[in-house]
Amino acid sequence: MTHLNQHRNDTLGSAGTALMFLVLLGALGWLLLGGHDTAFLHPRFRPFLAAGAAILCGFAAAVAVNTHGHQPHARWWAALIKSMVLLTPVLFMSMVAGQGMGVQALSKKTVATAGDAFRMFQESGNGAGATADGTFPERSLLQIARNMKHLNGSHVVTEGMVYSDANMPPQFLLLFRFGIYCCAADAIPIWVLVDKGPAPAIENEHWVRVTGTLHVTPINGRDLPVITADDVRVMPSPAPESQYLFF
Amino acid sequence: MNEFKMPHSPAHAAPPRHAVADAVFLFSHLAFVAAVILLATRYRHSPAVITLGITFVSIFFEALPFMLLGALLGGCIEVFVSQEALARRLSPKRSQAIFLAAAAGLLLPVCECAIVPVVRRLLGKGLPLGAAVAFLLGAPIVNPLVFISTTVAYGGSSTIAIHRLLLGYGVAATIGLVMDRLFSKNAAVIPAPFEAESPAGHIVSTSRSARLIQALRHGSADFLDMGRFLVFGAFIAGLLQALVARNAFAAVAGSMPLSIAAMMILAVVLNLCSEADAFVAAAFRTTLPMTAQMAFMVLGPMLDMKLVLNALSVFRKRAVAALAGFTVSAVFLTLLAYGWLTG
Repeated sequence: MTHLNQHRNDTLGSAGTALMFLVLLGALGWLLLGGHDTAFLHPRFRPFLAAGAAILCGFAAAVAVNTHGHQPHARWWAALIKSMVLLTPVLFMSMVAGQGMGVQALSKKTVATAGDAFRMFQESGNGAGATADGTFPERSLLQIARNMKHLNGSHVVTEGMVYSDANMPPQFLLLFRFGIYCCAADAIPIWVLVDKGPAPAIENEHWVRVTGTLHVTPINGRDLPVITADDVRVMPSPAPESQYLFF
Repeated sequence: MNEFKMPHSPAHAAPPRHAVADAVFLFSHLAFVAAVILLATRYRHSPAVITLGITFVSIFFEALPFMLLGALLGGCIEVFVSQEALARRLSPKRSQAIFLAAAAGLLLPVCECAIVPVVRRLLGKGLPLGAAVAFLLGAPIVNPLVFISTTVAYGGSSTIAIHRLLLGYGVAATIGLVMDRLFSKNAAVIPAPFEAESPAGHIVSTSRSARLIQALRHGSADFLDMGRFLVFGAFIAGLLQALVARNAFAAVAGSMPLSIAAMMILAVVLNLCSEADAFVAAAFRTTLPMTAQMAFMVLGPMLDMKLVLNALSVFRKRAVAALAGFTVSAVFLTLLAYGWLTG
């Protein structure tokens, strides 16, 4: 009877572990096959995620084989609890699916001015290929931050999220997106100031498309990129997978 | 010589765990799961919880493939590398082995997410404690990928990258020597915790496919045992990133020791990948001295939340506390000297 109970518990522990591997595998599949990985990670991590999925397959198979073996699992309930802990990121992933970081993250991740922080980066994604209205090349905020002196006086079209607060002059807003090198944990805000003139205020975290002229303007002793806007248009929020700029 | 062999007794012969320890394990892990479920359901619309969630998930899935790879590599070491073969390749002089191990990342560029399972299996195969510690601390910094990313982050200048690798090497080798001198392997290393819980078993098989399955079983057991520490570390890092502003660390820019200490705290808190952390450090170029940025880049790959928690699955608490204390002290003093030398 004891042996039967032990066998049942071993099977339970191994089955729980195998199930955990399969759920993690499913999560990696959702990220990779559904193209959701860029909501969290740089696209260059795809081969690593695929390799991780392959290893998970091997682990799941090895554990499943073990359910028919003779190796007793001394603490089957410990295996179950550890598996539950390992599944918590999947729970959180399902919670944050479809949502991106906003003003709250901006307030925690800001460290320096856009020009100071990003001049040195080599951009590898979200290039300048797109055109706006067939007239002016659309530029990412990262391109503007990196090349602001070169683009000084140029007509630009760009997109981003809005932030403004009571300390800013009412005609200004901050247009920002997050740039990531590996994952959202190393996200750094990339931003320009927009002089929208007397146009009505836009709520924080709305996505807008700004058309205007870029000027490098000294503010508080720093050269900052400022777009004098001809047009500021609210646009639908892009999916979280398209919100980041990638270094 | 502090030779130590991992016990290979069958799992059912493992000593029974204390009921209190079991209760603490059960309560702490279930409490964590319950807290996560509560946050993910009740506070799911809070902006701070969304930032926490995205950061937590990002760190976990960024590290997951490397941790799996490390676990698999550890499983392969367990099955395919004999203790005798490893002993033959190790230098008979322990100090020499430590100096070599601190630079082993140049040939085996294992990042900090993959390093702990590999170190655990190498310890089991007879790698001396000091060499294991030097490899644990050195490999995530002293490797070519980190050199390239640091060079790119600092505008193509390799000087910062060279300084980083040299400082990392020096600290790793020093801590390896110190730990080797102060701890015996028995006193520092937990005797094969996975053996009691491993579903891997100990069937000795000669066929290649059977040994591959054994390696996978060992790897899966390692991942099951250690992966939870990655979860805890990623969650704490996400929590701190959602609550603590990075700019708060710029307030201490005027004081060299304080700025070094602040950036060391930030490195422990953020849990960044050693290939990415140079970009975050470089973002502080205009607000903090180079010495503080260097402290961030040297300490981060050696000691952060997830690494400390992972180390607890290999080393005893006293050894982990000593390792953390020595590493923090060594990095702080080294960076103070670096700041003094570089002006």
